[in-house]
Amino acid sequence: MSVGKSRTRLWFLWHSWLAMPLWAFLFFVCLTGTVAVVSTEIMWLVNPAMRASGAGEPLPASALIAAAEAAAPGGRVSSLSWGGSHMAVSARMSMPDGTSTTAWVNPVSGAVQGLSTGNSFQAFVRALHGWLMTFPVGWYLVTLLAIPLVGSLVTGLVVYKRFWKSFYQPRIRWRQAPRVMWGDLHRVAGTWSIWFIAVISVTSLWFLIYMMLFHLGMGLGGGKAPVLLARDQIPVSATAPRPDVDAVLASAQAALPDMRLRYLSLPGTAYDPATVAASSGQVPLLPDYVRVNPFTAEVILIEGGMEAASGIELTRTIMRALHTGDFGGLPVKLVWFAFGLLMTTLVFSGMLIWMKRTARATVEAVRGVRRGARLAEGPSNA
Amino acid sequence: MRNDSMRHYWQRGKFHLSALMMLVPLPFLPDYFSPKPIFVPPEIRRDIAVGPFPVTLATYDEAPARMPTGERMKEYRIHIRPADIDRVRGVFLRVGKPRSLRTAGALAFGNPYEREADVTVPDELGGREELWVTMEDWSGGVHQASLPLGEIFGGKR
Repeated sequence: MSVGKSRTRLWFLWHSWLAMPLWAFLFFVCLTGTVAVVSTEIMWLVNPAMRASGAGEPLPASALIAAAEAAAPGGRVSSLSWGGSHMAVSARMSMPDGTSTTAWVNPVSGAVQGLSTGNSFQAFVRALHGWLMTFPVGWYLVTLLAIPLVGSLVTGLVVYKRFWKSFYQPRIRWRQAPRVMWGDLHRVAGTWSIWFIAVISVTSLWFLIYMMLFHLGMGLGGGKAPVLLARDQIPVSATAPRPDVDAVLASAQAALPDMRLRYLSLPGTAYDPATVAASSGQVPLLPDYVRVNPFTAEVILIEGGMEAASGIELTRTIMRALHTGDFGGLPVKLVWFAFGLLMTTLVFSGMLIWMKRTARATVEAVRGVRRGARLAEGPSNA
Repeated sequence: MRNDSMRHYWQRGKFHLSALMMLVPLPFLPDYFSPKPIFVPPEIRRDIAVGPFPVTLATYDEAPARMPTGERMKEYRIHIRPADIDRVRGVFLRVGKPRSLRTAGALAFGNPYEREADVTVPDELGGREELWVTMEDWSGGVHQASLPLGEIFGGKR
């Protein structure tokens, strides 16, 4: 055996051993991550209350809030979010018993199509995928998988020489023995997902670093103080004035004329501004946040976008968007979903191949080393 | 014979052991899907009248959490009567008497019926500290009340 060949073999063993002892865990994380990408779309299919036709003139936000609060006695809307023309507007409400409830309001008719309480399916899948519902231990367990993932990618490229052939001559021998078929599938799927595995492992590594920085007490807030209203800016009245949300949205719209409205957050205290989150369309990965005085509807500050964000905030937003595929609407999500499935298949096929082949290869390699050692010992014993 | 088959299962099964990771989230599932938390530490509650507003303070019977910044923080929830939520402009909590409204302490936020405040707790406690509640109404009135911190602190000391 030539030196080059045995070195390849060593790389190959590395490639096999990096993920194998963890394969089931990695498989689980890949699968839940893939589901998480389209969790909103899954709920849209399951729950008719979330759907809207998109035809017709939308009602003002104040009418949607009034409808939601009428449907849940005592409920106070804390935020509205718009998911697109095919979706009902979700109104999150604080309830008198301390819980929260989401009302799905038809943006055109104003009908409350359904109420959901507690955690959403989306939040559940995200918690399962991101931290095994066990924070922060689970977060570390999951993000540490980034290391074998990077390792598998690098060693895979070293082992599979001329991998680029899979781009223009993909070959999967479906009719051959399962081992051959899975091997072909592993190589072709791996080659086509190089970019995706790189994106996922780098962003996961960032999530690991991010949490380590946080626990080490290193500043991550971006150093910016929150925007608050001064006490003398708040009107004096017998009871709390309700913010004029239509005026707030109109001001935000005037400040960012080409914005696509995503989210309206009502003040969490009397001193907080209302926040309008929107995509301006200029920088697709970075949403803009317009802070608006809820009493006068004056725009106080526009945050986000390219220039306003600090380095760490910018990194966080971009990494999150790249990891989740949530930055270009449904088409991008579907691409992320497809490659997520492919990556899940890679883990599974890797395991199958390992069970059938690498066990034997390792035994042979170990035997070879022992034989070599015996031969080396030989002359001195003679 | 029996030993051999055990070894066989171990040889084949050991690489699937990481599947046990999936058991980690299981105990948290029921809690996650109920609207109110099921597994919560015992709560300490105290009723207190702050000017015209009777409120209930609540906190978990737990020691303060150490923040990554080194501060000790304790979370309190302030239950306000539904009839009062539109009259209360702000609720502030502080360990020790505030010298002015500007230093009234942590501003409570969130659900207007059950606002929460993260209060900074000094590292060393002498045992005579008081928790001060400052409430502002929308017409500009300010009301204050206090209770011994030891009554609503929790955890082992």
